[in-house]
Amino acid sequence: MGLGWARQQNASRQVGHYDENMLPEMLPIYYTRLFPQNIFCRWLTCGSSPQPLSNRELSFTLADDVYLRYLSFSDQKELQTLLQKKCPHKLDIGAVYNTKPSVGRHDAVVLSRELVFDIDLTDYDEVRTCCQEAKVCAKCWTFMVIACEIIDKTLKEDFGFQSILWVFSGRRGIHCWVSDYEARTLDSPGRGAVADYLCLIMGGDNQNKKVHLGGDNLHTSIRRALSIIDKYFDKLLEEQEFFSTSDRLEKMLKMIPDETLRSQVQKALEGMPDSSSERWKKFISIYENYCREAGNSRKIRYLAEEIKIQYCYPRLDVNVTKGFNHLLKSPFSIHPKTGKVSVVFKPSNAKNMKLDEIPSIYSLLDDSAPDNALHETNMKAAVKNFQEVVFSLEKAEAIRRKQDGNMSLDF
Amino acid sequence: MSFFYLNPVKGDLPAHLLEVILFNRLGYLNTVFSSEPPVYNEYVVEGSIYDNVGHFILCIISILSENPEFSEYILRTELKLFKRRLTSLSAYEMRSFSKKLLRSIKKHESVPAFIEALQVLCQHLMLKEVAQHMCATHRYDCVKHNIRVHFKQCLHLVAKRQVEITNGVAVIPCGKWYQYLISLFRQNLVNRINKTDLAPLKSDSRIMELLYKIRKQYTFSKQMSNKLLSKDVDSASLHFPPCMLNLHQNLRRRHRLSHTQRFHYSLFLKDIGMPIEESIEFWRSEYRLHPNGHHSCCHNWEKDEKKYIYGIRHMYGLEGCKRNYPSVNCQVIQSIDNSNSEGGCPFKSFDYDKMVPLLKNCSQPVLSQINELKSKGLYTNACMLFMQNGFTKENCDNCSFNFTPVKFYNMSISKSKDAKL
Ligand SMILES: [Zn+2]
Ligand SMILES: [Zn+2]
Repeated sequence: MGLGWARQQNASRQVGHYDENMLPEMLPIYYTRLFPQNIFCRWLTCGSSPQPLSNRELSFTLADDVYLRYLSFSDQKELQTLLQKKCPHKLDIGAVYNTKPSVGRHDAVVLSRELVFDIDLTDYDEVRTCCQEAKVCAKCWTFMVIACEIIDKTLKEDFGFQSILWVFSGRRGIHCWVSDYEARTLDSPGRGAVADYLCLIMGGDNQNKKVHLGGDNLHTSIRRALSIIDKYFDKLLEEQEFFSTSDRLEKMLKMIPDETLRSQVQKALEGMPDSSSERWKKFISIYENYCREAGNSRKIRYLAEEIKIQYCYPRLDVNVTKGFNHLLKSPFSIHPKTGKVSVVFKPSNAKNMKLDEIPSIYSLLDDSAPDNALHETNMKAAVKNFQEVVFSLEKAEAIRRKQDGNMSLDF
Repeated sequence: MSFFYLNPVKGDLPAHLLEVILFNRLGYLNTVFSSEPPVYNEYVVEGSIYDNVGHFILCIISILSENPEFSEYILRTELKLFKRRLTSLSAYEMRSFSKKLLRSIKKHESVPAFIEALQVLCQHLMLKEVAQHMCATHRYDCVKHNIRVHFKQCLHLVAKRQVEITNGVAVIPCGKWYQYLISLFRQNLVNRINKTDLAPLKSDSRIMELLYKIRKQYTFSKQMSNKLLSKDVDSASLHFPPCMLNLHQNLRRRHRLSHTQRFHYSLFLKDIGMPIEESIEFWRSEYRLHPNGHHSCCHNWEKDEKKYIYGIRHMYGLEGCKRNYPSVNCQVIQSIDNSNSEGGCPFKSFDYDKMVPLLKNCSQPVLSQINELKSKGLYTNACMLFMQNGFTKENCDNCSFNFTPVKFYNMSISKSKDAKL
């Protein structure tokens, strides 16, 4: 499968440092040989039903940043032709319309769309200390692991959704696609409500304390999220050192609304060694003591939980979820900047994923690349993950259509 | 007939009586709106024929008026009236209210899903024991009785995590039932206002005459703003509401705004009178400069000129779906500040020390009043109080609902003109 020429053509480049200029030559090969066209078509066919696949919008970003909207295809053959003709550097998926999107364009009506979630590590910049902006590393990936586990459980247990696809976004985040009929046909207010249900961190750059849980008993979904966070909290404390410098400590102190408690904590923590784990333990003991002694501690009943959530809970881009026809990068699209494949992964396996083991187009198409074998194996695994979700979606769709059929017979 | 108004009463009424009913209802709703204690009015006796006719004729007028502000006002006051009536029911009245509703639901062959949910709720409320429980002192966290509905039928409760959900089914405890019933009433009313096609009535002279009279009496002033030029934005910003002033200052400082905030700010400028060519000039002058500070935006005007101009033309309704986007209201600004962004309503989402610099010329007593409103969650009221600072308190009833940054600006401008005279 490998192609030695890819390397020879650009011998001057450094190992692990790839050239975007190679993409126009590599992408057609990738789309033909590696992109799981068949499964992709089946996924979108099911996800568009009862509308035909051709009513689904696809959009391409071409080499020179030209953006093509309102594309569509009706079967795998047309998809292959389209990919070869245009050679998109990026592939986005849009909504299902009442007509072929190229015909309807602005007047077409959106009928359905997967319920989608977009989590990006740049939204964690105010809490992560290892990287900023476009950078990611194994340490900050833990935030994604937590986000994936919390959202996946909520979607399954609370909302009863089953066809949930998790995709690496290609650089610094993850996407989630829910294809259940109920989710696909959810209207805008419905999407808004699901997004708000999942959203615990509120407030922008101008607010220090962004989580307010009140004084009543916690909602089941919040308790479940906290139990997930607890599994990773010590690890995060050690890796991120949330409270180790005076700046970071100050940020945390600003989240304590009670002045007396805040000054007690400040005094104690400033006089301690830097270790965030130790400082956190100390904070907890002061806080618990304080609550026991102070009569009315309702306002700070969940302070420790609020701080944990502010540092660890998923930070959704709610606009993506609320929007009915927001375009989102397709699974198995190539990220033009990193060359990485947007692989499908199992939520249970998120914690074992390593960023440099995620296949990239360069090592997949170059059999002399050091990572070639590993990336090929991981690519195959990703396609298999995709298949599993699509097979179960197809089953669910068949059952739904049968039930629909029965209902109309009864009538 | 129940005051849920599921069905309109049938029959004919003389035109002059329609008018009397309509204006009596409007007058009554005004007193409801300003929270005056209820006074007996023979045309608004709950459950009566006049009450039913008045409600439906008002809906018709509100649809035909094609004035979103008027419709919003009707929606709010009708909702408040419903709430007032609901919470003053005795157990006996509650049972008969539910039974009436169930009867009128049964008249329909098929009903929308939210009416099915209403049916489930009524089947509980009509039970003697339940009705007595509800009408005795009842806490909002009471969980003695429950109903189960699909989560799609109680989105307001889902959004605020006020219900537990398992497998798509939400359990609504009795403590939340009133709140839920009110939201169902609202949904029914919104459906009616948005989905009823009244085109045939437009040729009905009696209705059109009523509409004319209403329009004369309730003019929701649309202030004509002066043309705002790109070079004058700094001086105009003296009259900006704090949320827009914040965006303006951020833009001047960093020369970039995040996507949503750019959208909000451009629409605001458009609606206070900035013509499209000035808007392009305004954004060009900032986006030509290098971004300042940490900002993930790597765009600049030269590189993305076409895209930016397209975006601005789009907002002015000249591209794409050719829709003229209105600027956003306070409710929207307050509800979407949950991403990492520089924007949002300063009264809601800013720490005290970040908020105060945006409140120019605000005296200490006013500041402490603002803080009090802020802590009660009355962010829009805090904003209005700030605007009135230093001026005689005028009756602001007409604008307290659906408040927007544009209204703030227009009122602030007209106030400063009055002050100069
Ligand atoms: Zn990192
Ligand atoms: Zn109860």
